[in-house]
Amino acid sequence: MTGPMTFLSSPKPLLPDQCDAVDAFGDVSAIAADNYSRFNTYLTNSPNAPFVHVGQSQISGWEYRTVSGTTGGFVDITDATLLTPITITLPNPCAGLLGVMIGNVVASGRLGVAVGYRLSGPGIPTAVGAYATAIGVNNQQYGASRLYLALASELVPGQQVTLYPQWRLENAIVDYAYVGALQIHMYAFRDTL
Amino acid sequence: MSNPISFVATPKDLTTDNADAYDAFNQQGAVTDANFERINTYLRGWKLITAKSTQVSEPSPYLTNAWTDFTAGQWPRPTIVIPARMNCLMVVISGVVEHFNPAHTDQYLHLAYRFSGANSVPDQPAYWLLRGQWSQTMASRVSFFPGSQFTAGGTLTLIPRYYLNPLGFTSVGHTIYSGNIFAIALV
Repeated sequence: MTGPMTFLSSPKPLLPDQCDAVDAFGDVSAIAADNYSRFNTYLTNSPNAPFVHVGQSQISGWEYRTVSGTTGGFVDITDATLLTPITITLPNPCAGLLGVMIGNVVASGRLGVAVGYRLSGPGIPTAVGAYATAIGVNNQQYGASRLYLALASELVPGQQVTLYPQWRLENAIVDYAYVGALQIHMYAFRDTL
Repeated sequence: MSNPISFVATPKDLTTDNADAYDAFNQQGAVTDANFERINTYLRGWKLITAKSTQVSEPSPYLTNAWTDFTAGQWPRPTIVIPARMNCLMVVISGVVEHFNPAHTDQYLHLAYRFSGANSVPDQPAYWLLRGQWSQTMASRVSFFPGSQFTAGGTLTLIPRYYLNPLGFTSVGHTIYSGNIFAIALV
């Protein structure tokens, strides 16, 4: 449902004179009842909350990890003690999906480690590692967030979408990092029209 | 409003006379049409309008010492028609900004955006995002703008741009990639 509801119009122009009024009155009453029914059906299927917040995966403190994968390419984080993928079933209708990652990274070396995520589901372009969020460089700590919006046209209502946390090595000098306060979230917006 | 509305039934059984029915018909027609239009107006209060684009390529070369728009080919410019009674506009720009030239540690590179059309937002150059200085930064910047700063019915264009300050050095060793920008109009 992407636009205002299409209600039936009362057939006022169709009434030529008083002789037809009783029948016409009955017609317009039936149409009104139909419209009321449509609206209530809409309300039943469209709860007031504008979005669905999916349970997040997070760590609250600092964790030291060896980073898997090869230099330059994002790979999924498979250590369940760090972060786990989160999955949402999209509402129907659905107006969009917001992916969020927040985190801090500290890594040694001239370049360090980046963390990010990817979204996977019907209609969503596969862009592994495109949504990186933070990086540790020169023993400095970086904290940042990264948000990504999937449009309604890219989503299939009622289907599942999974957010996979990822990381990548920025060079071969270091293969470890401290990551802290990592969080991933997803918000699916209901389509309310 | 989480439960169905109990609408009042139409009193269609109150008359069997054509003369009375004629008046009743016209009155009811006018009232019901108006009421349903009010319902649609109410529902629009929940509407979510979105637009986004993804960076395609980089400027080559990067220009210096001025805010410079990415071309529409380098980074398409999303547009959004400002809805009536928009409460606020949420805009998020994201990207990776790098500067890896050890000889030029004082350079900085900003990624930002500006609005074109249907807005009166002041000081847009202040909305810079990322700084690359012998480093690599990946992040999003989230901003909320009040609806009063936009013109309902007008088309707003979001134009990504950058600012490179070489501070006397040549323009080398920096890059912006993995850029995204999106807007959500909250009505």
